[in-house]
Amino acid sequence: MSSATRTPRYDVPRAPLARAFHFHLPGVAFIRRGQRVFGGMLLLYTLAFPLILVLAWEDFTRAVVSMGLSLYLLAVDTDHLVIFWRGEVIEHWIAAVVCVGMPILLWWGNRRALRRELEDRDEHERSQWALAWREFKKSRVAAGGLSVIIILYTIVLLCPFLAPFNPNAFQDGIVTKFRPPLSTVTVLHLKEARITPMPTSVHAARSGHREAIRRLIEVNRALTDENLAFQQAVHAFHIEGPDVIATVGNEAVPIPIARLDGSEPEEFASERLHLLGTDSYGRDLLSRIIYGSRVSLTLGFIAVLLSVTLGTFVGLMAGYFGRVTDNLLMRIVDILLAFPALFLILIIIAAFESVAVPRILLIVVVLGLTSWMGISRLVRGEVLSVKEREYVLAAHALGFGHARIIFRHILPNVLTPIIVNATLRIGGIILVEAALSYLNIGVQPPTASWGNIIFEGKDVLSYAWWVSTLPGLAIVLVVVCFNLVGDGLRDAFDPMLKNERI
Amino acid sequence: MLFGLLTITFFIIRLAPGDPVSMYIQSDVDPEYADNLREVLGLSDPLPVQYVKWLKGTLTGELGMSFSKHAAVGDILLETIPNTVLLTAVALVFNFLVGIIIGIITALKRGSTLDHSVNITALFVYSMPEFWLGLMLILGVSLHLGILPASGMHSPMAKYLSLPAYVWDVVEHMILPVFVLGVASAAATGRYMRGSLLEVINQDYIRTARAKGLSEVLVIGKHALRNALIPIITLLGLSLPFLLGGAVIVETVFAWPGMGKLTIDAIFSRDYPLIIACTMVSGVMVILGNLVADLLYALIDPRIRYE
Repeated sequence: MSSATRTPRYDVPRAPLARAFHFHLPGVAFIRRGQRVFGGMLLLYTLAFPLILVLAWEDFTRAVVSMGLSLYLLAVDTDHLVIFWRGEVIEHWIAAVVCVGMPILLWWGNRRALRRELEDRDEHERSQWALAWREFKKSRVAAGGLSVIIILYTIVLLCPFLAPFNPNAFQDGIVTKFRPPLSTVTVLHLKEARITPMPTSVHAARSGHREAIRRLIEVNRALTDENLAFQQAVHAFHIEGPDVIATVGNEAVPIPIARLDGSEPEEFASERLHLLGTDSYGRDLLSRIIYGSRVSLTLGFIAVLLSVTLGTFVGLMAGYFGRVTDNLLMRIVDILLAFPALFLILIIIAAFESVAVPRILLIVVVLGLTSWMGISRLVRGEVLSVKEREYVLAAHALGFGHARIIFRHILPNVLTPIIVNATLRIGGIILVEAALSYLNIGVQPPTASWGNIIFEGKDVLSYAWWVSTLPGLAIVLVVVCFNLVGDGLRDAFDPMLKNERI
Repeated sequence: MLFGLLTITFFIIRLAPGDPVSMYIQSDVDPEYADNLREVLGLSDPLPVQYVKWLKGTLTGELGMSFSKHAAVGDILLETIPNTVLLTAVALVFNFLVGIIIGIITALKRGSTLDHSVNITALFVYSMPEFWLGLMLILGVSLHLGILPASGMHSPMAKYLSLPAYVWDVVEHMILPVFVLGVASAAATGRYMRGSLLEVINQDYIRTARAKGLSEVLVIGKHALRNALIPIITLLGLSLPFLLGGAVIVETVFAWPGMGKLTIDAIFSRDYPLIIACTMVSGVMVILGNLVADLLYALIDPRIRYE
């Protein structure tokens, strides 16, 4: 590259305020030097976290209190913590930590990158990865795809704060079910929760940390039950003397105003917005799609990680040792490839269905174990060409062990095609996971996954089209983005591979 | 190859915990009766014995009795395989016909708006879950427009139709499933064909053909196409497993009475002989497909000769 395209090295502003922005607000430095799109997106991404923090402030404080109390009890009274432990709150903790930690991480990374730039670095010192990153950024669509993926994974981490409702909370089905997108439901606010809380004071009484336990139970309940228990959804209502007559379906239910939170309609009634509508149980579809992303995205990622690790290992072994090992391993690969992949997956899931492991874990493992063959073929081919190169022969001559040669000399040099392939594969795996959920042998309800939301919507397609349509659009978006990023990576790595060969 | 396939299937199924007998009988049934049933079904033998017995049966064409349908596995398969083969074969033809045409058009009009829009469409089609596309088509075409039937293979009264009407009935039912099954592979084939043709067009012999004054149609149709098609043939073998896997989903979505739907049903009822047989048949189809691809290779590329 010519030096003309390079940015001037010392462009740090003099004015103290501008200087502070330059170093401490990620993205500003990039906008100043003309990388407007990248810098702007980085800035928006960074600022999104404080914004979410403010919008979900109530949940955030609860999560922090819950985490603090749990850690406190873990130290002083583990027995009682175990009794009152609720696994669901961990996702709130994670969201709280991410909400605070991510901006700090961005700030730190940004400052470090800018500081480094001040040191004089020559083109030749740049690593292969830095060069590939620069190539990658040039492709707008690929970079766009990557941004969407980053945003989606952030949503996965923050889903308790972003989802407007609890994804599994359903009540007053007659009123709330099959609400089309953008519709509202009228709700009456009750003074007391309709579901009476479980009596827990017995255990608490015996503990020396009664107050802390009581607070923890309260906070956890608030985190998981949301405020739906305090609401009654109605089709319509009117006031008659001391009662509010609520219309629920064909019934008229009288509710004493004394039980409501306030005495005027403006006080005790409000409209609940369902942005993407509701499903057959009256659950909020947007919340379910947000929570479903967690299953679809993490599952796909972990399964690909597993299959890439296994495939790479087998490919390395086959390619490096050759002869009998090669023959044996490649025959196994051939046989497994002759199965239509879906049949193989179906059989294994059917066979191990009754094993007492969580269904999600089973699916991850099965998807990982049935998709490594392509990678191992690819790796084997690369290894065959790499292992005859001078540096490997030199390593042999120096008397290095097999493990050292394989992992320190060969593996780094076959890594790029593996990364490209893995990225392209995630999309495919997400599709397979969705298909399994659709066939009702994947992730089981009530846990939301995009596939099983579509499954639940298929029978009501004629009058509630949104239930099946919208999660499908989410799948398409994710898979398209992964494919774009994969293509971009391939293009970014390829020119270098060509240079290397010359 | 086939042998390995069968062995793996058998052991995956049998090594799994839980057995079908406990699923079919209530827990308060006499345990002796359950043991009896296991004896009859051959489930109480040690694993190697079961394996040898089963292998012998398979090789002599005896596939055993289906646990859940109370019929010979062979008979059930004979009923469903033709349906799946019909669906898959038509989808395969659709895949290659559409894919190759798209590939040729986009390669010849490289860089045009048409090329770009086809590429983008292909990307989206490729990234779409088949079952979702199927549902969307049912929603749009069948439910809203009411043009094509949404599911099944025949109309309820199909038995009483005359032959041409009957065929038309089946074709009508087939359009949507075939489209869903074939369109993603067609997108992939199209992309592949485009690359292959572009590579060929830049070769010296094409320039020679043009220099001779041959018409563009002849240059592309006779000289370029034939060479560009060679790598596509490999796709034929490769796309079969995908199509068969896709058939499982498409058949479920469209309630097509084929092998894929049968497999899903068999899995839900833990019908081991049926599951094994279905997997075996799909494996055989894949291997046959690869064989056909190899033969086609020789047909289209005279440089390859099989001894």
